[in-house]
Amino acid sequence: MKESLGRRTLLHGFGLGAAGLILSACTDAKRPERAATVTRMSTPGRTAPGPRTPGPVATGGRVVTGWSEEAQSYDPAIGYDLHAWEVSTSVLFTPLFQFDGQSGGPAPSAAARLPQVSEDGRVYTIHLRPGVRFHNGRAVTADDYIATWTRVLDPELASWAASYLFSVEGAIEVNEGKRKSVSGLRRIDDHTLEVRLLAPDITFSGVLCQPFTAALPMEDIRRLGKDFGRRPVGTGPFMITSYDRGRQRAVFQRNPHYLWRGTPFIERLEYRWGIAQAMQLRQLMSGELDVLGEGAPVALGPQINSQPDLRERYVVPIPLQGTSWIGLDTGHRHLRDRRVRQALNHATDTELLGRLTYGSQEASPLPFPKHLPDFPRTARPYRRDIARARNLLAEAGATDLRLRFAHDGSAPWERLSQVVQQQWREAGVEVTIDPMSKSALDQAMASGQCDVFPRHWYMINPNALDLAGNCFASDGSSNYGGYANEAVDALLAQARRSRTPADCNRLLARAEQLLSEDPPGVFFSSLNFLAARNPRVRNYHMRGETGSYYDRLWVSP
Amino acid sequence: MTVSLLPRRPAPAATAHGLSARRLRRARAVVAAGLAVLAALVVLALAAPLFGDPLHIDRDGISALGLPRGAGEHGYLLGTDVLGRDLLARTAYGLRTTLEFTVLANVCSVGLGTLVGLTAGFYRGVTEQVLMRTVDVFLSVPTVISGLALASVVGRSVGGIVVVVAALYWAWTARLVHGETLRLRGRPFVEAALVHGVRPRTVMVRHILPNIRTLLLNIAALNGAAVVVIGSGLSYLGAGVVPPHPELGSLLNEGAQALEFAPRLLLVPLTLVVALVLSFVLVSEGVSRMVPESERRSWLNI
Repeated sequence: MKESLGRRTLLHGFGLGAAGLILSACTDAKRPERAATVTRMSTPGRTAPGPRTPGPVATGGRVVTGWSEEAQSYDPAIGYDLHAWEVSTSVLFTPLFQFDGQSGGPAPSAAARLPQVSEDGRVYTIHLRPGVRFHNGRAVTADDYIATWTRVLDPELASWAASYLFSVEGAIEVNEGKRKSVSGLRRIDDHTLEVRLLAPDITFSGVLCQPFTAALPMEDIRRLGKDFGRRPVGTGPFMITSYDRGRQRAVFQRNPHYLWRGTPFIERLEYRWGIAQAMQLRQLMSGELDVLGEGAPVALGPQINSQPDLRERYVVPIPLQGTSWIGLDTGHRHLRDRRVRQALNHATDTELLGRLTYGSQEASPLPFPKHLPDFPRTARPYRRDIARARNLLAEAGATDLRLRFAHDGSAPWERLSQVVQQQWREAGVEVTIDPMSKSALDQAMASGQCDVFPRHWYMINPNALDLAGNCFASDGSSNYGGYANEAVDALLAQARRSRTPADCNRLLARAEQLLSEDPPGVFFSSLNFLAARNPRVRNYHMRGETGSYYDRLWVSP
Repeated sequence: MTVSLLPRRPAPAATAHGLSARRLRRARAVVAAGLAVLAALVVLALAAPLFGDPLHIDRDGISALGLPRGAGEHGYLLGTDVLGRDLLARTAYGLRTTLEFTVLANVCSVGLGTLVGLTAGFYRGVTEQVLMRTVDVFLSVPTVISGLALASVVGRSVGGIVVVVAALYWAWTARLVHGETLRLRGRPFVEAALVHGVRPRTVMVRHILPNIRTLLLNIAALNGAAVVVIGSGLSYLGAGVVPPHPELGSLLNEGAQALEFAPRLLLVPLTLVVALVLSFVLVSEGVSRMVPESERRSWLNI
């Protein structure tokens, strides 16, 4: 009997103990980390240039962002895919200037004030903000900028961003390996940097807003070597605390030395990658993810649009400075004739194409983006007119036009190509669709093997020169169609040398008119970014060209 | 010893097929059901031009949010697909394409298989060894993977599907026909014809081929079902008929992607594929039931 009672007591004891453990485990499991670290509501101080932050805000907590792929590199001179670009622009680095408002002009960030520009527009004197520190605690000086820019131009690094600095005197020589130092960069004192340009360049102030011109600590680059791309040290609102390729996540902690005191509001930012887009959407709705880095996937556009709750609560369309168009090989025996290219523009129903992008693009049959600020638009958009298209083709002697439309099968092009095929068929143009891998398409475009191909361009600099200079100038680095128009080239060169944004835009408006009359492609849309975030993320802003403003968002307690 | 006083059920009358009249009726009913479904599908495919252009894309075909129209909306009986094309027209044309390659691939694979099986079974010796070992090689090839590989070589079109299916399926027919030819080769009427100096080719055509016609019909029907599945499967996987041209397999692919917001885009072509396969299986089953059990052959006892 005693033995029996003793065993029962023992069992009760174990039972209670186990129950207690289970309960405590459940309680811990149910206590979200983000809720535990949210501390208090406060009125925000000054934030970095960008969208406004109305107070009060809650501080603390964590935001989790999902990505499809690992970034190429977190080194701003190396990585340029969306994942890498957002880390560079919004998380780890602070450029000298940042775009004000949603897409306004440059405003001082790591610089103390706007640069002084000489009378001839060739010399920029940049005053650095005192007290700006790297994540390692060291103060930033003018020498750090000179070293960083020289590194971007180093031919051994082969940085994608090097050409953006080619307007600096001596930059091309360094990039060609002829010199070790850039003659156009001079340190006046610890907090003053002088930059001499080869010629006036109105886009240069935009270049100073880019993350690849933000200061990097050379001692950490030397110490970490190639690993700098995974554990970079910068001056941004967050610093990286772990990068785990195995678990496919990177963790960023609030930077206590960040120059814009009081921000960021969240304590921790976590990036997770390797998540398929459809899964990302599910995880966003279940609360596992707070932000989708690449936005709402266009491939899932119909699913999103068919669920009003999902569309209205989670998705925010944000206009981008970018356009999408159907590229044409102007070396083709028929496409050489501008009347044929005009005919193809008349044969295209841009409104229908716009609908099939599910909000990621907005119908706009003009070369430059729809929402360019202070842009005096004079170009006339094409209207669908099949009879006109047929007439133009007949005039050009291209009544038996056969074209090959190559694309990489990505959304929305696998659908748009079929629509274009049918629309052009009505005008008498036969199109063969040729889906291929992305690398094969890149190769085919670069070697001029496609007649028709998809094109889009995100302008990282809010000036149409960014698009036109790269894609439509005869020497543009992304002019895959081989387009050449001397009048356009002259206007673009003149616009680059103009002294005020208004002068520049006037010249660009004329260039756009010429591009519309002698179209290098079929322009059909202005790009949007379908930002996707959980509604518990408050004061969410994003700039399509850069990424989410993590420094000013906060999470509901 | 007990003797039943109950009247004995009269033994069913045997027919010329060696089956009871009731079993024969049932077998014929199964064949008729299969043929009726097949005929309905053929009529739908032939009537495809009445439903409009399957490639035409109309702005009214999709909503402002880019969503396809539902059944009955804006005059579209079955609604539209994700690009705004009439689903009824696309399905009817898709069925037509599927039937086209089914007939062509079936004729090619059964024809080639019959020729090889008949020749190997009749001549025996080295000819048989060479032909049947080749058949063994083809039978050992995994169908789907080699089909995808072959499709990438011969091109993505109806012709490509015909080549792929014929290449993959002729060996099954050859194996069955070979076995049946071996059985008939030793029969007295074949021996007698040869002794009387009838040429071997004539013996094969006049004496053996007519005796395996039921088997061939059975093979053709079952092969038809397999061709539908493998051909549509290739299109589903992007290795068959490519968009924008409709085919039931490619329509299934498009429908699978639209399952969450427009399930009819999957259900309509799926129903047709099931009906088409079922019709072939019913015909095969019925034909099989017409043969006395002792002489039945199936895919399972090659």
